[in-house]
Formats: sequence, C-alpha cells, structure tokens
Amino acid sequence: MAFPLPSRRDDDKPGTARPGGSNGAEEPGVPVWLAHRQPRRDDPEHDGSATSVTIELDRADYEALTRKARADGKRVADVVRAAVQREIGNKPHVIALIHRWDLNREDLDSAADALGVARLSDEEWGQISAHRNRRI
Amino acid sequence: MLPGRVLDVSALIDIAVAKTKYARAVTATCLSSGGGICVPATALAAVYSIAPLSTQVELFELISTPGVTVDDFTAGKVGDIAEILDGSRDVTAGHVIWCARHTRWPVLTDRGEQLAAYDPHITIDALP
Repeated sequence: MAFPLPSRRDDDKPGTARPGGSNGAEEPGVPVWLAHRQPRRDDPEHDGSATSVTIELDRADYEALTRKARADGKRVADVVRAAVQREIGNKPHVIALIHRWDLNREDLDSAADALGVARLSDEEWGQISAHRNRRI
Repeated sequence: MLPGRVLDVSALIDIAVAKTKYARAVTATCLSSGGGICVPATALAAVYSIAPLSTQVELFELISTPGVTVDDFTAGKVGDIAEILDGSRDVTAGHVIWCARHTRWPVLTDRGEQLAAYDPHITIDALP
C-alpha cells in the first residue's frame, strides 16, 4: 500500500537551516554557526518586557551564589532565575499534583507539621479548592 | 532552610500506589513551600522494575514537576558511593545516602535503621 509523501514548500529546500526552529523564509541570512547569537523570540531578556531587580546580598551569600553558578556552568542570573521559578513557577504544577493525588487539607497540614513549615493559609487552600471546582 | 526530602524506594512506591498518603503529602508540601525533592535514579529504576504499569504514571507526574530533581548515577560518584557501601552491594542505598549527604535533606524511607548503619549522620523521615 502506498502512502503520499508530505509535500515540501518551495522555500524549504533540503539542507537549508532554520535557525531557532523558526521559519527560514521570515529570517533569512543567519548561518547556523551564528544562530545561537540571535535573540530568540521566546527569550524574556529580549521581548522588551523584562524588568531588572537589584538584590543586596552579604559576601557569603554572593560567594555561594557565584560558586553554584560556576559549578553548574551557568550565569549568576540563570541561578537566580531558576530560584524564582522554583519559588513561584511551580505553584500550578503543585496544585495539579495535589488534585491528582486527592490530598485534602488534613493531609497537607500534617505534612507541614512534620516538615516544620507553615500550614496552608485559608487563602492558599481557597486557591487550591477553586482550581478543583473549576476542573469539576 | 527550605524543606526537602530524598525519596528512597519505599517512598516512591508509596507515591506510586498510595498505600498511605504520607509520601504524597510530604512531597507536595515540600514543593509548595519552595523546597525540593531529590529522586535518586537508582531508586527510581528499582521502583519502575516492580511497580505496576498503571501506577508508573504517578512517578512520571512526580519527576515532571519543577523542583523535583532526578539525581543521575554518574562515574564521578562511583568512588564516594563505594566508600559509603563499604563492601555492601546495595547500590541504591549508597546512592540514596550520597544524595542525602549532598542535599542535606532527610531521607523518606521505611528502612531508616538500615540506611543509618551506612551513615549515622543522615536524617531519616520514617514512613508510617
């Protein structure tokens, strides 16, 4: 049995590089070996909406931060960004896990006590419940 | 210090099959408090080898969550882990203890005494 081959557009010739996975016809003339220098559209540093924050750290914290960045082969900004992502960015994922695992407030309160962290506030639990209701 | 746990085989099984809700609740609370979870790759492999296929999706959900790190067993750790094992062949236990030492997080497990025999300085969070 024969299957039709997918058609190839005229401007998409074999061997033509598409830097950053974007459409080569829209961004012509960027060689592959320079593609990593091109600003990416999804890069928050280049979308014009990035905001800078100045943080004062003591010497020990700063040295620990630079050591961590060096050990991971990253920039200090990347380490800070990862920490922010961890603090803020994983909330929706954690809420999804709480729903998936059918955890109730008592389960989470006893876990918070075992870990020695603050229990969920009414506001936080309200957020989780609102998510649950929206899914139902 | 932000809360965190290293998950031993029994904790991962508890997450997969929900025998108790403790491992799931502790994991979710660590992550929601801005902490982290460390899953030694050797322990994950041990669980995948015995957990029913239908429950493995829970482990996939776990390791796909930001804040959860799967610690690979790499050549660079061989010497340290061999030293921890000191003649034992329980590579998973050695890897779990290596992770606990490096993260300084307690190990969530049901074999606290056994792990403490390898290193009495690690902290154990016993599964109920």
